[in-house]
Amino acid sequence: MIKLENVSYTYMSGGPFEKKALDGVSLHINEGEFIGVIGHTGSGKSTMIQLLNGLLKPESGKVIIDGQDLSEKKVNIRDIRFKVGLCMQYPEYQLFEETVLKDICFGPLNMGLSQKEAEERAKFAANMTGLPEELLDKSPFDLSGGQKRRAAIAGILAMEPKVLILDEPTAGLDPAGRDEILFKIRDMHKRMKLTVLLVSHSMEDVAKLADRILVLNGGRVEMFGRPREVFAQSARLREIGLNVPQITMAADRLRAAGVDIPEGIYTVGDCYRILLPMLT
Amino acid sequence: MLKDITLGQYFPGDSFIHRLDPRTKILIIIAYVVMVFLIQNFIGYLALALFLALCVAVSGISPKYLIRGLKPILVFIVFTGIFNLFLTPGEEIWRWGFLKITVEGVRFAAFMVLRLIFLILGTSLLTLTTSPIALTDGMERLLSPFKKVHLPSHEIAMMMTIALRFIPTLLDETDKIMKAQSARGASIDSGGIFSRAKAMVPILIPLFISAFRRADELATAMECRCYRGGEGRTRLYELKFGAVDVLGWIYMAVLLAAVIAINMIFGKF
Ligand SMILES: Nc1ncnc2c1ncn2[C@@H]1O[C@H](COP(=O)(O)OP(=O)(O)OP(=O)(O)O)[C@@H](O)[C@H]1O
Ligand SMILES: [Mg+2]
Repeated sequence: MIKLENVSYTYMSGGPFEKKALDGVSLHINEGEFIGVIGHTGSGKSTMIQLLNGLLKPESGKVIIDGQDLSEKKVNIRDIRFKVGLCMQYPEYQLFEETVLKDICFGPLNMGLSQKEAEERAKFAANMTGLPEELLDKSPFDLSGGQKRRAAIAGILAMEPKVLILDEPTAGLDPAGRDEILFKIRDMHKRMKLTVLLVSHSMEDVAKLADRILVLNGGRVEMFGRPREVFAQSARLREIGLNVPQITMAADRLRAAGVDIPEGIYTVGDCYRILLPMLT
Repeated sequence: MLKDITLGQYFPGDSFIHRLDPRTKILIIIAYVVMVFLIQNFIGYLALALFLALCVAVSGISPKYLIRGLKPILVFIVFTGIFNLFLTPGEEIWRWGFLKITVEGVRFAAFMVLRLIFLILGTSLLTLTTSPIALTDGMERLLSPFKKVHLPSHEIAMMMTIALRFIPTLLDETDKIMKAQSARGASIDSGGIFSRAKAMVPILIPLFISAFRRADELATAMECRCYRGGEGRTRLYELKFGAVDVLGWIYMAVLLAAVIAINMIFGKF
């Protein structure tokens, strides 16, 4: 589905502040996978995902989506963007229409859908992100920060992309709202075979949701594997400014203290299932 | 395209030009701008080009980088050239239908284009070698004698500092908004003039809103730190003229003399 072949990207190439953000990244993501992307700030996460829908052009290497090489002339980049829905980091600033509903319709209308269809999709998407109906006729600038975020995410969801990329969608949301959005996304991923890339700084979220975790460090792929494999390397993760989920840390400490608890615990649920029989 | 704008960017360094006092540099650039318009013939521009080339060489800024700064206004330069080329009345040398080129037109077009290029290159060199803070500090000090006639020199300088400081921020912001809207399928660089103008709406509205919000936040932040304007404010770095500045003035005076001499000797071309 998504393939990167030796992709590099440099910002302000040739200038005094030249910055190599990605350096020889190669990876392969299958259809229907849920990928968590983690990395220290400045590790190149946002840069990488912007390459996936052609917002940035790689300096070298290939980006292949659904068998189409994005650098080829005949590829219509807008079609790629409808297929790969990208919600940028802090997407609130993309709101511009008079009403929230109109704003969510912007993407679907650009796809050439009819007004009616677009509105249907917009309402559905708003519901998915937990935006109450009565807000849809308000001006997007009158919403709270969290509501704006939801509206912005709904604007991407309404395009019904095959691949959904979210760059820290839950930064700055309240815990309940965060879980609500993430689980709706997981739900969509399961039901509609949506391929999801979730960039997050929360090891807990990534551990709970992702099939595989991509760890970036200094513009290179540091690790790419199942949560179990990634979080087993806690020392290395700490070295590159990341961590393992709290529950993994707790389990590791318990094991060190002599409790018989297996390795590779990374969700509260896992831990609960193992500890409960011991306690009763 | 946004990436090509070099105006307002600072290229840190420790060259002769970097070490000049900002006041010296501002005075030199004023003299330079006057000269750009004073020059009457191409030999004068040659002298100016030599002067500029020497400055660039000394400053350690790559000429390629400086010339790239012309790219965003290339269209403007070309238009100016073409308009002057075809629309200046005078002695005809070529005609096709209603289009005609005159001797005066060629001369005028070349002059206008050269002037624009020299202006941009010169001012870019100034901002590339002078940090915005130093630049506005220098401006404030140069304007301070006018305080007597109630010119708010500190406020003017502060406004300029803020404006310069926010150019890159706003460019970044524009870039981000354009990306976010393109990700939703907005087609920004295709279609006719009308549809292009319409396509600007999703970019301009968020941009204005964020600019206003930023201004508001900045005002609050400044107030929180008890900013009250220039009265009684001391500064972290006092500006001092040094030996390099004397050299700079001499250099400038020689060039000015040369330009005037060239004008007098060769006259109008
Ligand atoms: N528009 C830009 N111009 C110049 N450099 C940039 C730009 N955007 C990012 N960079 C640089 O590229 C590197 C990678 O940035 P990127 O935004 O991809 O990081 P990130 O992993 O998304 O970080 P974060 O977790 O903070 O969002 C950083 O060092 C950053 O300074
Ligand atoms: Mg980022």
